[in-house]
Amino acid sequence: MRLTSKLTVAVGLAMFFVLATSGFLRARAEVAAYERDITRDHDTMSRVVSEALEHLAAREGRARARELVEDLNERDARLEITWLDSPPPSPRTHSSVEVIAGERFLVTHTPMLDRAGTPSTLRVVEALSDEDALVVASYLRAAVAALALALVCTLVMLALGTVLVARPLGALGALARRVGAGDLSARAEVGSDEIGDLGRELNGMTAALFQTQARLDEAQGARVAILEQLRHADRLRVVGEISSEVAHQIGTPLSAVRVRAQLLAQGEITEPRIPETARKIVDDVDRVSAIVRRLLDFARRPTGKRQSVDAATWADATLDILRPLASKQGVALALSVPADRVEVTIDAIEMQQAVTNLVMNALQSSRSGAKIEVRVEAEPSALSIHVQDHGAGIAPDALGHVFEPYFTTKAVGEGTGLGLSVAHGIVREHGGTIDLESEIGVGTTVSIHLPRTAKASRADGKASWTARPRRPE
Amino acid sequence: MTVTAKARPARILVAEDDTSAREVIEMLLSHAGHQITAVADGDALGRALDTAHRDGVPFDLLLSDVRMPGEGAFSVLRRAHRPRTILLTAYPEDWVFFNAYQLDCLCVIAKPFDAGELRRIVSLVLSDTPRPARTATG
Repeated sequence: MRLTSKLTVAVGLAMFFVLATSGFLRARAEVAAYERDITRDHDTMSRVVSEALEHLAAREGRARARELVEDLNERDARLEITWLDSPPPSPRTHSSVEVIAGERFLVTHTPMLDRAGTPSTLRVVEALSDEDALVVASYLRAAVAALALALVCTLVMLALGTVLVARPLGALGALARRVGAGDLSARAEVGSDEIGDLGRELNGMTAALFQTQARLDEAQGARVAILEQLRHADRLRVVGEISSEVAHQIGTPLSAVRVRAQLLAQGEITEPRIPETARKIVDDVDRVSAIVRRLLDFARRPTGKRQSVDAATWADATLDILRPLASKQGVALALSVPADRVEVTIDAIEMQQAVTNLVMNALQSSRSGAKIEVRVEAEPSALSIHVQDHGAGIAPDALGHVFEPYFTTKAVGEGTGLGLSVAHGIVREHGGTIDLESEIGVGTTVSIHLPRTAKASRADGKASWTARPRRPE
Repeated sequence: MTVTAKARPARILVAEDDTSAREVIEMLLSHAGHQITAVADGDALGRALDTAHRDGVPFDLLLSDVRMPGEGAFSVLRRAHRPRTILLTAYPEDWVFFNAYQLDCLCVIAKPFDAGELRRIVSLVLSDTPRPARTATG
């Protein structure tokens, strides 16, 4: 509307001035013409009357001529004719406008000569009040006409401007706004002028954006699906690596159950000891059930739901799966947790996978007799989980790559190289960071820092991982 | 079904870290009047074998789990004076058989095992003419 208003007001004003000027000029011309007319009338009449008087004076004497003058005056109240004895101000008929007592009069002097050659003057005086009224009316008419014309044109321009310019532009503006807000299905109605062309191009652009967005969404969906698959594969890898331990943990109690059941069946167990034996069978079955359940818990796909868990309990459950593996290797797995209950909101299964990967890495680089320390530390708004091993450490030039998928310094077939990258991904999705410090020959510490309450992935651009050599203390 | 005690009461060493499983083996074998000594980890196994050898009272039979805390079973058997050995394992992988073969173990029994089977095998083993315990260089 502002564009239309500006244009309309500018054109309206210009038009008004043009029309007003032309009207003014025309009115002035009219007035001048009118004055010329009156003057000419005076002129003609003066000459006619002066000649008539000269003739009358010559034939019937001056007195008779003066009587004619008085008659004429009586007949026409508008004109005042006076026969002056004084000589005329100029040798020819001359008209001029004089102001007498605030009013305007046209005064015409005509020279007269009698038979004796004595000069006299015929003076005709006419009031111009009519003319003044006419002048005012003329100018007024011109002004009103100019105004009316300008107004009509302005209104027409306003209407056309709104329909042809303001509204289509408004529609395009609305389209741009909706696209900017994310609605890529918006299209504008367009006409057939230049603005319509612009609108068509904008529609085309939006359609292209829509397609690109759809492709991106699809790619993102595929990427998420693949990531899910990778994580699941990583989980199953861990299950595979601990399966012999699990078999042992399950097979041994089952063995005891079988023997006791057989002995009971064979009647080898005496009455008094039967209840005790049965109870021990139940205990062993419970132990096996717990192990199976833990393993299934570990291997199942995460629900993506985050819940509030006690950090100590959760950490302990996480390490449970790995203790047998550690003890097989002769590696001590120590866990230290905060004394008080510390709540943290996480996807328990996913984070379990992250910590498991860290501990498995630590186990891989630890020799028999070594120790792995897992420390859980709590701050008011953050939780830290440190996994420290005293193994071979990581070479400084590998540090920059440790979190890359498939990066591994181990031999072919000895590891997927996914462990740290999966852990990093999980930590990042929780809005946390993962930091690795390592010294060759001394060991490696990997630390996970998590916000205690659920957060989305970090969008602040800060790095979600670091890997650096440890400074010797 | 009871086992006829063809074998005379013997000194049997049982190495098994799981309490329940250890109890059960003791239950099975003491029935025939054998003298059972039980240990729960690899270090204790090593100590028991060394002591028995030092005191001149070697065991007649060793029943050992493969996976135990402390020193690994095979590592102990390689260096200690071992009697006839039966191995128990829940996960019979190739490496278990290979090591068992290398160390002249009598057999590898998979868990869970049949009670009667175990007794029969033990009885069979013990009824053989007693031979001297294998030495560490075997």
